Amino acid sequence: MTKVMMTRQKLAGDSISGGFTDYCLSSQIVFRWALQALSSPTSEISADSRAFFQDSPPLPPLMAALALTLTDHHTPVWISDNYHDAKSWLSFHQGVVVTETPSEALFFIISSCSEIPPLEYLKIGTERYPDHSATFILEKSASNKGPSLTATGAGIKEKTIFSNHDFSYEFVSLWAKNTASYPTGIDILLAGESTLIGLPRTVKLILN
Amino acid sequence: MPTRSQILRTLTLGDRKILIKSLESLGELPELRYLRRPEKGLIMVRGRVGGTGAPFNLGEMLVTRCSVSIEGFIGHGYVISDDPEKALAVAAADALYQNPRFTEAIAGLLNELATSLSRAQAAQQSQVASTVVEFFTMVRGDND
Repeated sequence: MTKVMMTRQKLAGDSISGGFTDYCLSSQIVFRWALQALSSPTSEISADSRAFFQDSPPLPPLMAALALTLTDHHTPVWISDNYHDAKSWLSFHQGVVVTETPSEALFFIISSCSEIPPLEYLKIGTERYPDHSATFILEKSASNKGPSLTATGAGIKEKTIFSNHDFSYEFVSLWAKNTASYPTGIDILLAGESTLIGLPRTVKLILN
Repeated sequence: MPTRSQILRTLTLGDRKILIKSLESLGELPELRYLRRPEKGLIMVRGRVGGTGAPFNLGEMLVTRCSVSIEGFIGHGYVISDDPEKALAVAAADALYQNPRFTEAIAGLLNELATSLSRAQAAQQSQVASTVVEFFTMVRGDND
């Protein structure tokens, strides 16, 4: 009995299980989803990554899949304390440096848009290298309650009505600044349970 | 009590036949879960001039690595060349050594590997030693 208990505890403490079963194929599929999501902003791309894992990762499956696909040892990652176990997990699988300094991070893995620091504290790229900027992998909850927004911009035919449970008024004003600083700025990937939404810096969000 | 890096060194450099055969002879093992399936890659081997000088890149080397979890004990295996089987065996042995139920069995395996390793090294050294050429400079006497 004691032995079984010990084993269980040990398993719970094993914080590095949950990588892709087939790294090569899965990461290609996930990369394709990310491209699709960013090229048709605000539309939901179906992206079910649950079957890619043998053991469950310490992040929601789609966020885990994006993290395994997009990060490597050249990309410092800032991870929300809500996903504390993901820190050692991601450094094991990708060799990433987990940073506590937002201004160093190229990727953020966060559970709420209230965790996005002001733009002044972030990598937003430069006029010459607008790609040297931070990308946010943000958890999207199933509920869509939140201010209703009209989205326009490249990749959106005329406009779409868009809302997300967690997009506060503060976020909308941060995003307005982000759009204004084009071509520099940050991008967001909103990861639901099995859907992905891209919110690149080119999208303008206006409160309805 | 050897350190973990000493254990991994013996497993990695040890004879692959002995390693794999001894693991098989342990009989039925607990379920093995892959944390990282065997994968190949290149690592940059660095050296230092004269052993203490500035580091320089010596060259790339092919390695295979693998990480497994057995009953929650995590084992890692890194081996030279394209050898997924051996990488897996090293990782499994590393994980099993930490598991009190298997420590003794793996310690026996380590002894066997260490013996064969030192024998192989001695054999190689004596082979190399037999072909040693001693260089010395004779006085040419140009200035006489």
